[in-house]
Amino acid sequence: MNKYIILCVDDEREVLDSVLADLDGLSELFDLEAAQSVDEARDFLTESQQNQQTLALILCDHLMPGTKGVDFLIELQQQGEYKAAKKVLLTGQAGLEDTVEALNRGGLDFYIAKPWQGDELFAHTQELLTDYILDNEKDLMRYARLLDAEKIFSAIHARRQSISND
Amino acid sequence: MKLKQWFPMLICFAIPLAVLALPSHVLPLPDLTLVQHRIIAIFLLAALLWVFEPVPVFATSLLIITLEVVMLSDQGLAIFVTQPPEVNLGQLLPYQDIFASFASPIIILFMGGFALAIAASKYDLDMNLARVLLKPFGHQVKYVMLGLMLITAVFSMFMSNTATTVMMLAILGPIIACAPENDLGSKGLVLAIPIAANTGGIATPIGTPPNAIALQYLPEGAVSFAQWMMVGLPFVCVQLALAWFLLGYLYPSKNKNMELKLAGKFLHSPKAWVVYVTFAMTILMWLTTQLHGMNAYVVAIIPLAVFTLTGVITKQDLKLINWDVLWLVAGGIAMGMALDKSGLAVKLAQSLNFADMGVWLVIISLSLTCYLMANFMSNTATANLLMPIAAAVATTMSSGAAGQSELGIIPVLVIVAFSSSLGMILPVSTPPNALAYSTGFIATNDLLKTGLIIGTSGLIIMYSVMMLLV
Repeated sequence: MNKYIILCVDDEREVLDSVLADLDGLSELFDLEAAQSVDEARDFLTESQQNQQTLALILCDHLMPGTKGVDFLIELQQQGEYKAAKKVLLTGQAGLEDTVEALNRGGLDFYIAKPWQGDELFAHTQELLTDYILDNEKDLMRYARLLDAEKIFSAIHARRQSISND
Repeated sequence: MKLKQWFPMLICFAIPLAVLALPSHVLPLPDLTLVQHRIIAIFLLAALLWVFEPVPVFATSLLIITLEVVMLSDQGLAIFVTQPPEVNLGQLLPYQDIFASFASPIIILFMGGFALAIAASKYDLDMNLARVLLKPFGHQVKYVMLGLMLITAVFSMFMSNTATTVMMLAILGPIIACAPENDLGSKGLVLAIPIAANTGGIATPIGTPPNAIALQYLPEGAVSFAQWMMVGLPFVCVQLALAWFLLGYLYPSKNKNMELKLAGKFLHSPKAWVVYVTFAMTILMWLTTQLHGMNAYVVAIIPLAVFTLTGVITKQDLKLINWDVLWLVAGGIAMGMALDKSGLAVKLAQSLNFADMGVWLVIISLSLTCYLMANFMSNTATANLLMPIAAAVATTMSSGAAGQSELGIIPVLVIVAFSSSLGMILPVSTPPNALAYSTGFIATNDLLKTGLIIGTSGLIIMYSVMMLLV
C-alpha cells in the first residue's frame, strides 16, 4: 500500500482500464485506483482516508450518470484534504462553460481531451505528480526515479540542509 | 495495532525495572552500591531503547540524562538521595556534572562542524567545490566513480556523512535517472556514494560522532586532530581503493562514458568570502594544534562566532543545527560519566576476568560486537554504549597485568570507533545508506553484498595492522 493514490473516475470500464494501463509505470509508488461513478469515488476516498492514504491526483470524466465530473472536482476543491490534489479533466464532452467552471472553481490543473495518446497522458501525469510531490512531500529521494528526476534532484539540492537533518 | 506499538516499549521498560527491583546483592558484582545498581538499570534501559528504537534515539538520550539527575544526583528526588538502612547508597553524582554533558567539548566540536556545513551549503560552497573537483576526473565512468568517491569521502570528513550523501546524490541523480533501467553501472555509482560517505567519516575526529566519543574517553590531549588523521586517512584511502575496485568489478557499466552537469559559479559576495576563508582557516587550525596551542574543541567555536557575527548564520539557520545528533551524543556522555564516576565501569571490567582471555581476544570481541551492533542500530548509539565499557576494559588491562600492557587505551578505543563506522550492510545501518536506498536505484542486496565485503576488509586491515605494530 502506497502513501499516495491516483484515482480515475469514468463510467466506461474500457476507459478506466486503458488509463490504468497507460499509468502502470507509476504503480510502484502510487496506488492506481478506478471508480465507475462519482458515488463510488466518494466511498473510495472515505475508505482510503481511513487507511491514511492521500489523494495525489484525480483524473475525472465529465459526463457521467449521477454527479457530473466538474461538480465533483469543485466539491473536492472545497474540502481541505483534497485541495492539494492535482485535478485533471479527461473528457470529450465538457462544454466551454463547464470547463471554465472547473478551472475557476474546481482548481483544474489540466485538461486532456478524449481520445488521448498513452505516452502523453503518462508524461502529463508525471509532471503534475512531480509538482504535487515537491509541494507536499518531504522524502523526495524515492520519487525521483519515477517522476521528473531533474526537477526533483534540483529541489533536493536546494533543500539539502533540511533533508539531511531528518 | 496499538498493542503492537506499545509492546516493544513495555519490554524495554519492564526488564530494567525488574533489575531495579532486585536486591543489590543478587547481582553478580561485588559490593554493589545502590547508585551503581541504578546505573545498571539505566544502562540496560538505554541499551534496549537504542537497539529496538520504540522512540527516536535522541529521546532515549534525553531520558538517560533525566533519569540520572532524578535518581543518581545529589539534587535528585528525596527518596533516591536519602541513605536507606543497611544498604550502601554509594557516592551520588553532582547534578552539575550530569548537565555538563550538554556542553561537553565534544558537543561544541560538533556544533562547530555543523556551523561549517550550514554556512557552506547556504553559500553553495559544498556544491561548487564538488563540481570543480569532479571536473578533472573526465567522462569515463570508472574515473567519474573514483572522483565521486574521493570527493564524497573528503567532504564527509568535515561535514556530516548524511549532508554529504544528499549533496552528492543531488549531483549524480539526474544522470542516473536518464540511464536505462537496471543498468549495473548506475547501481555501482549510486552505491559508491554511501560507501564513500560512511568510510570518509572515519578519517577525522569530527567526521562522525563515534570518533569524537572515542576522544571523550581518552586523556586530554592524548590524540590530536592531526594525529587521528594520520591513522584514519591511510585506512580510509585503502578502504576506498578497495571499494572502487570492488564496485568496478561487481557493477561494470555498459556505457564507457558519462557526463555530469558540472556548471556552477562560486558566489563572490563578501559573506560568501567570509565562508570560504573561515572554512579553510578552521580546517587549517584543526590540523596545526602544535603551532598555536588551541585544541580541536577550542578551534571549533571560532567559526560559530565568526558566522553569527557576520550574519552568515542567522537565527533561522541556527535551527538547522542537528540538535538530535548533539543530544544523542550528550546522552552517551552522561551515561559514560555515570559509569565512570560511580566506579561501576572499572568494577565491571575487573569482574570479567580479562587476564585469562588475552588482549587480542578482548579487543577483537569488542570490535566485532561494535561492528555487529552498528549494522543494526545507530552508529552513535552503539559507540555511546560500548565506548565506556571499552575504555574501562582497556584501562584495567593496561594497568592490571603488567605483561600485557603494550597496548594502551588509545588503539582499543580507535579500533572500536572505526568498527562502528564499518557497519553498513543494511539500509538502516546508516543515514547515507537509507538515503541511497530510498532513491530506488539500489536494492538491499546490493548494500548487503558490498557492505559485507568492505566491512570485513576493514576489520581485517585493522587487526593485521594492530598485530604488526605490537
